[in-house]
Amino acid sequence: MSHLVQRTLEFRLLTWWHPGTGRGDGATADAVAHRGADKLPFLPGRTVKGLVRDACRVGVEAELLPEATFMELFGSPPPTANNSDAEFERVRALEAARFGTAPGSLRFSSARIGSTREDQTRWSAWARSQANDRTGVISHLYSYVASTAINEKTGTAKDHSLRTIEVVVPLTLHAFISGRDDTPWDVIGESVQLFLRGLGSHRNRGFGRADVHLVTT
Amino acid sequence: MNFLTLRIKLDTDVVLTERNASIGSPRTLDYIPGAALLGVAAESLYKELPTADAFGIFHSGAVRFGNGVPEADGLAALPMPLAFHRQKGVEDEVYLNMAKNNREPQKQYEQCREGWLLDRIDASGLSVPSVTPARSSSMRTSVDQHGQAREGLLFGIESLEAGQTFIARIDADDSTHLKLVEKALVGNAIRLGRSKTAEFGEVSISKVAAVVFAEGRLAQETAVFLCLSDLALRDSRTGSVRLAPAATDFGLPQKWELDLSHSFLRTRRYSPFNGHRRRPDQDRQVIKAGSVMVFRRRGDHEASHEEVNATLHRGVGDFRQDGLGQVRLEPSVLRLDRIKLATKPISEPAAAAPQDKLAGWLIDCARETTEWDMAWRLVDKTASDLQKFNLSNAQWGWIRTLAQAAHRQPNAAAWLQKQFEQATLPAPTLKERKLAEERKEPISKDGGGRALVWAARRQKESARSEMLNWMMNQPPADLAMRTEMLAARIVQRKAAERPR
Repeated sequence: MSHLVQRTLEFRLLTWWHPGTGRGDGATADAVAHRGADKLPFLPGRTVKGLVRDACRVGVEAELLPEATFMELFGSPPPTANNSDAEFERVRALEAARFGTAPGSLRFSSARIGSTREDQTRWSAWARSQANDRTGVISHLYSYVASTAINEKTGTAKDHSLRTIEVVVPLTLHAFISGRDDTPWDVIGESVQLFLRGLGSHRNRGFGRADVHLVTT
Repeated sequence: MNFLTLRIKLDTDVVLTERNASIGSPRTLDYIPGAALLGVAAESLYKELPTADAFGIFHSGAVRFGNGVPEADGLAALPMPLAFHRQKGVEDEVYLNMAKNNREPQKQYEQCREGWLLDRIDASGLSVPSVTPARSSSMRTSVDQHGQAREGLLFGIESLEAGQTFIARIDADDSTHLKLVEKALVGNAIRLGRSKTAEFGEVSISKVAAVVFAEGRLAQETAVFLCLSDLALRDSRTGSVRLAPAATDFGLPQKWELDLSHSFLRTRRYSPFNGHRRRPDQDRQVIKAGSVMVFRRRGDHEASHEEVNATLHRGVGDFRQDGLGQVRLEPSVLRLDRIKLATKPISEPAAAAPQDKLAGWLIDCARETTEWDMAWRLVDKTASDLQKFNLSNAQWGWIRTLAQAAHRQPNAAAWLQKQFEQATLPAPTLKERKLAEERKEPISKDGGGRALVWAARRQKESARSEMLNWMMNQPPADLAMRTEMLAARIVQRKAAERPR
């Protein structure tokens, strides 16, 4: 088994942010924020991988990183199918593609509150112990933002356009990336710092602005 | 007997789907398949070993990688025996063991199919602890470079939650094989299941003291077996899949018969995914874990305890290296006529707050919320007392405005109390003047002379003095906030009580 090296990726959120789940909770919010079993907000590892991959993809276009190295680090791209195909053909193409993919060499953890794994465990244990606390100390990490569309002619709110999303306070998350000794960490760090500016949904509306960098050890 | 007992702790969520489809949202297994542990050991050992040893460890069944089952109270759990039923439509915590009881013709029964239990009966002789591994699920999709979801790639992930522990037992005919497997599994950075490159699959494996199940009881006339794992049987003559267990499968004489009325079997069909070849393996049709089989003696054919134990120790059926074929002879829970499943309440141990700014800020927010909650409860009670004075909404609005202005004063509480002490009664309103004229009653500048007005003035004076009394009893730091809350609450209550 080859030796794995670990680096820490720091996400410093500068504005309210919304890690989406695709779900609402009925009357309160049309979109709720993703949270773990401990009720703390976190960025799933698959999302972290996607964000870093996208930043490094721009790094490839900026000739910071060779395409071959990019494929080696992140693996095959997600399978695509021609959307004009019939449903059966589309599904068949997707199924066939999954047997031809290759895994990447990097391993990503979820980004959580706490700068080390021990800190993250402490935060999780504390959050779980507050589960029955009536003051809802952890609930202060979340808030709701309501917005509506405006009728351009009348200047009043359009009917049925009110939408509420649950957002998370600006805070700092840390994720851990493991890779081989020969992983080009400096290039990954550069790509992430330059090209990864926001995360979560509603980035075009000011949410999720972030300062991300690879922590030097 | 060579065996190794491992504790597997989930450091992150782990995804172990019950089928390897990529479409839909397959459920996760609530145990760790032995095949997953075999795969980890094979990844590190296969290339180093001579072909014969590699075949012996990973394909012959000489090493049997048992499933990782939930651990609770230091014990390895058993899959829920499918023999436990309760009457349909009746809210009853007691389950009948239908391997021992007979069905009553007029009653309908529902089977208990999910979960695990510990082979430990409490002092009452009825209650058995049940264990349900925690799972979580979420919807995911792929996002393109424009931030839009890609079509056709919405899927669900269900996972076993991090923090849980599982116990797995690995048996081997040869102790040297066992040592190699131990070296490959214990103390290394291991990832199991799906989506290993991101977010899921991190586990820690440690060696623990042996978990030895108490020997089962083989009665003279009956043998009861519980499948601890799936069972893959095959017809020895044709080679085809067989879902009907035979006595000889378990080391019993051929003439012993399966008692179908007291046996409970469920089957499933799945195709395991071989991670090395990245292709599905051959389809399997198996008898599910938890199935209960009762065999009855026919004629003089006595069963041999040694023969049965030796057969069970070797494993039953095919794919024993993957952990299939683990069967146990009548555990103690199956000797009971009925059981009550006891669920342990989940209580999280107390933990200290982390020493960082964010935790400090959260605690301050919570404290402020508690103060607001307390103030609100107090104010609500006062509001119901002061409502009797029947002051108008406009007057309460004036009080609220005063309270808001008090926040800007250096000494808010003192300033606010002074406003109330020095406030003079307002001059008669236009309405009061008109009323006095109509009734031909005299009215003075300060509002005196009319009974109606006097009553209103007295009421306002009483309200003012009661408000002042209340204010004297509030903490100075909170007075402005509570007064504002009080004024708002009274108006709110009046609106709520107004007939529609």
